[in-house]
Amino acid sequence: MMNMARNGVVSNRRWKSESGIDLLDSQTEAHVLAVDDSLIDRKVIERLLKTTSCKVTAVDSGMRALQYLGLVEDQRSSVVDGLKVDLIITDYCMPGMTGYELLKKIKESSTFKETPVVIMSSENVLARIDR
Amino acid sequence: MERNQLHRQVAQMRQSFFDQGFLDEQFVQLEELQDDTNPNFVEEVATLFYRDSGRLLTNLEQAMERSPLDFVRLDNIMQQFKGSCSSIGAKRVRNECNQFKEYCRAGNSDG
Repeated sequence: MMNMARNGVVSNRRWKSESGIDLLDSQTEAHVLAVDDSLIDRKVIERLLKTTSCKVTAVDSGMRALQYLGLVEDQRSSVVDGLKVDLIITDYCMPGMTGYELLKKIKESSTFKETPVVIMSSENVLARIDR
Repeated sequence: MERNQLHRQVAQMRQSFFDQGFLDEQFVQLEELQDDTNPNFVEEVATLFYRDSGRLLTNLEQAMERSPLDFVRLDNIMQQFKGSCSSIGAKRVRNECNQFKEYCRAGNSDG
């Protein structure tokens, strides 16, 4: 269910987390963290999300995403306090940490476990996507 | 007058890419993301694609020179290439990637 705001500046979207809480209030811009190792995909995702008036931060790996979110143990990110991320969208197939591994780390954290995580895959063969 | 002619030629060329199966719906999606605030979006994505493809093809050539062939490495390179092709709507190349990957899976070096 999607209501576009009248002046087109803010999208009023309803995202349900697992606990069924509405995560966005209608006046603030959504902040999406996009994770993809492909530069082309990052560019396309960034553009796509920006057309819906979301603020986008794009990073090129799961590790960078965790660093950004302040979830890497020995590296405290200075922007963690007050960091608002409404949605995390990640590629599944990435070198190093896969999208699923990233999902697990996020769900294990206390700060971001309620944040919805979307995993994208270009694979049509389901067997390649382990669970 | 000349300008209209050029426009028409470009339009025809573009259509032929779809008709011949070089491009698919994804490319149209990219065109739809272009607007006055981002007037060169398609060109920028295409440029990135060519640069990225060049790099992947170089890696591929190097990998092909090894003996015996490392099919896992070749498959990985193709996976990345296939991903880029899908993102830009390069249908024909993507299908070739899939074919290549099939050969890798079968360990078919002649293919």
